[in-house]
Amino acid sequence: MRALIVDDSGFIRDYVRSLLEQIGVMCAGAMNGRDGLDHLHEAGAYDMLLVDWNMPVMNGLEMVKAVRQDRRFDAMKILMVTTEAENNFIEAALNAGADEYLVKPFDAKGLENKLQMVGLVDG
Amino acid sequence: MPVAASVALETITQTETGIEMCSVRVGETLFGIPVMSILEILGAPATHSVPLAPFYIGGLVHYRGEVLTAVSMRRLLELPPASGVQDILVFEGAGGYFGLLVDAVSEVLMVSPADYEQNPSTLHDRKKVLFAGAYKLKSGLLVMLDPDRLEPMQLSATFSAH
Repeated sequence: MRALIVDDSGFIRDYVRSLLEQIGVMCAGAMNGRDGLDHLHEAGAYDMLLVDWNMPVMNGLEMVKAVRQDRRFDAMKILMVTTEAENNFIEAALNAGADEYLVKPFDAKGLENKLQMVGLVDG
Repeated sequence: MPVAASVALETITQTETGIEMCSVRVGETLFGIPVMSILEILGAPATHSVPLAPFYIGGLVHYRGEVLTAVSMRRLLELPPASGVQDILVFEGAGGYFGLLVDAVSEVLMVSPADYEQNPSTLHDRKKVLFAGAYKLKSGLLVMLDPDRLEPMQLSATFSAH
């Protein structure tokens, strides 16, 4: 299984990668929505996309909308990863095409629960 | 940055069990903060100074439509101002969000409870109230910071009591 982690913080990318690698997921990273989108167009779909909301150049919501407009990425599960926990933010992310929502800070169990909810790992 | 430079598929690595810490550097010291306490990391934020603020306030930072008070680790440790850009860690305390200015956020470190030691009794009084013990690493010490102790209102209470 492969994941693309899009976050402007190198530390957060490394942290999420360390959690995913513990369950056998191979990871790539990108620094913002535009870099992530360019990479998807170049490398093709991943099994999952974990994308931060607040990023420079292109934010996570814009990236999710762009990804969901491309049928090649229909099967890719998208998790919005952010500190924005208000209902209106969650609704906006889900309406844009995110499959789930992961509120920072989170640990390995929180991440695995969300992966179970979108059917990427067994319960 | 070109996509090729920012994206690299990395192979699976087995991490050892332990506690995950965010390591940050301030001056020559490596500090650790529990990853689960960190809401966000802001790189090179613009800070605005606050006239007549307590000595440990590094400035105000715009954070998602709010104004965040940032505590400066350098000021707390009585170090000279940083020569380069700094990072800010964002926490949520009893009084709301606050930031912590550090020289640089480093990496995720796994530490073992067996390697933990309390503050030494000989530590300077100010450091005793700021530091939360340390983990021994192969390369040195990871001095622990407790975000609850660094919250601006808590610092105000701490320093008015000393």
